[in-house]
Amino acid sequence: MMSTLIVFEPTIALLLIFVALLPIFGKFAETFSYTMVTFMIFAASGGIFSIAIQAPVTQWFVVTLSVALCATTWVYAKKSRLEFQRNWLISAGIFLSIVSASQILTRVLGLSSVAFTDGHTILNLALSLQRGNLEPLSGIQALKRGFALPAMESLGLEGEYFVGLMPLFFVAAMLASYALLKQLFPESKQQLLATFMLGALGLSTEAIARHIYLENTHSIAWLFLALLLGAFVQVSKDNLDAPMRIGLILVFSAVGFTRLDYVLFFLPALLYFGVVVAKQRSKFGFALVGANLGSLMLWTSLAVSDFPVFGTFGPVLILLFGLGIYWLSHLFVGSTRVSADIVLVRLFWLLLAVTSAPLLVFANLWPFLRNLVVNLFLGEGLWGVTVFFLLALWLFVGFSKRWKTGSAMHSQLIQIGLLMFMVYLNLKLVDAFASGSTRPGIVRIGFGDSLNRTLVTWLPYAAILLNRALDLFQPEGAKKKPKA
Amino acid sequence: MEEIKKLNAAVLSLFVASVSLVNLFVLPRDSTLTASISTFKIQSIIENRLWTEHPMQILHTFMNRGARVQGVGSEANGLTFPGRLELRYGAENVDRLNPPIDLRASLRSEDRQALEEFVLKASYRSVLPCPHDRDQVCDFAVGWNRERTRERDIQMLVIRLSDKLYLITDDSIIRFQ
Repeated sequence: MMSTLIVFEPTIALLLIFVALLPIFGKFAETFSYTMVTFMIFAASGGIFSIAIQAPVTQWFVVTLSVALCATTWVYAKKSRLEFQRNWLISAGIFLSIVSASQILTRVLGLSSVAFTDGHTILNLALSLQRGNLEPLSGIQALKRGFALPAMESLGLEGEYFVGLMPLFFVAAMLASYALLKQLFPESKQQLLATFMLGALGLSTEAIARHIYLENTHSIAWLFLALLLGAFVQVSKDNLDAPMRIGLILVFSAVGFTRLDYVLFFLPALLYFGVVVAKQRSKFGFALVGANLGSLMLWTSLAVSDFPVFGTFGPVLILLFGLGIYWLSHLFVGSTRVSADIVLVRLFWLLLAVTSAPLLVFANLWPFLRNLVVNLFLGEGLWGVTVFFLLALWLFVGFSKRWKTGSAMHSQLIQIGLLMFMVYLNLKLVDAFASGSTRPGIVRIGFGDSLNRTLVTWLPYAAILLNRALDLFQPEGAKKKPKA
Repeated sequence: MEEIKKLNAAVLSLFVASVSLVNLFVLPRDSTLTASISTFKIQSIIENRLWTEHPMQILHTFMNRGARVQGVGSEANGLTFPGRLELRYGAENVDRLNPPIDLRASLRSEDRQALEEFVLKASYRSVLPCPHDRDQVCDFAVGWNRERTRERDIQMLVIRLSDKLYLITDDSIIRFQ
């Protein structure tokens, strides 16, 4: 009975990854989040390996990698004389309970995604991987739906997808948002309260709650952004420690495995990291670009036919191009006497202009704004009154003098989010042109519109806003300094 | 100082709780997920379209502005979302005078069978309050001729196929003489 309620192999793999990462990240929230990211990478690698050897071995590949990771970390921990902590056992127990509960409850209650044709495409890809029908998929569709999610979903029981996987990403995204607040704000009770508030808004707002089961990568993008912003806060404080470096490589690698357009979507974050680390740790910058574009190269070379740029050589050329660009920018940032903060301000305005121009010239802005208003404020995007509330809160906090106490780092966090939004709109514009539209409005009415769904990616900013609002009436002198 | 912080937290919590309650209990919802799915087999889910979705969201995704919807009915005998249809397609394109077209008695058995097959294999389904009795729930299906997706000036019809089954379809699937 239990074996049909829980899929043994991926469950054990998740537990092993969690146990392996626990000595590295220490805290439950961070370890949970990075476990899901690592699981993605392992599943995608397993999918690629299956294609390479033309046999469906993803499940065993993931388990083997997880065992190897666990053994390596623990040997390293023993060599480093890292003391075993009893609460690690408790954390592992809680993690296993959450992973099991997600599968059991989902199966017993028969819970699944709302109807969505993109979700069908993802499940079809998963089934192909599971059954060993491993012919490369044709270009655009495969690139748009990506690889990592189908690879993870292929780990389910025979003929099924991995039941209960998507809620785990939702939980991971919530925990990563909490971890971000811990990086940003000193008050532990406030961080927890702000996370609970985000949870209440998330579960009650249909547009967000649908992502608990929606068969798509949006909650995964939310997880990525929360982790990246948390890491950026640490980079800005000039203390990028080893766990965070590992975490960053994991996230950028997972981004590369997820979807082709996600590499562009998260490019502003990569650029900001690139500039900041160029002066401190230039080799690490190369590692980030390599992890991001290397994983993209791996799956697009093997799993996709008709790569849209430069054909077969496209993935490799993109990797080399990315590394070359980083090398040039590293030379520039490394040699200039201008500080990274000033470089980032100039980069922001440049990128904002570059991403705004195509929208102003080619997009039909009236339907864009009209449909956005209908989705966000008139109910069709299923946002309830949440956007009203967040907008009012933002204005309220914005007009208070507290808003001005934000540092360069706070501005940079907002710039990353804004640039990602602009890049996303440009991607939609390209997508619309590819579908034959001459002057696209970019946004459609309804929950199914991709911008409407993708908006959950920026939920970490809602968490920051809630925490900031909690901080609103605290006198300046009473503010504690964040831990270094 | 501590009191101010507590008061601030209490006020904000109250706001968040109110927003959540309004979202959950006051505003209409289109259903967060598909509940009580009978199988997790991928092929079954796709072939039998087991995932559910509210008709309005399906129409948003697949039917452009300019579509006309016949048989929407009034508050007493029609669909529960006429206002949303009017917002999307304009009041002039939404027929609120006539209730859903009742085909229960007029369909030949082979036509009924073909339509039921069409509902099962080619339409998106959901469960909503019945137009004929709001205290009961009915199955609602949205299915259309896929070649006409996003076609301008498409004519959609709301029809009642059986006691508890309604279908929103286009006039190339069902024609009236």
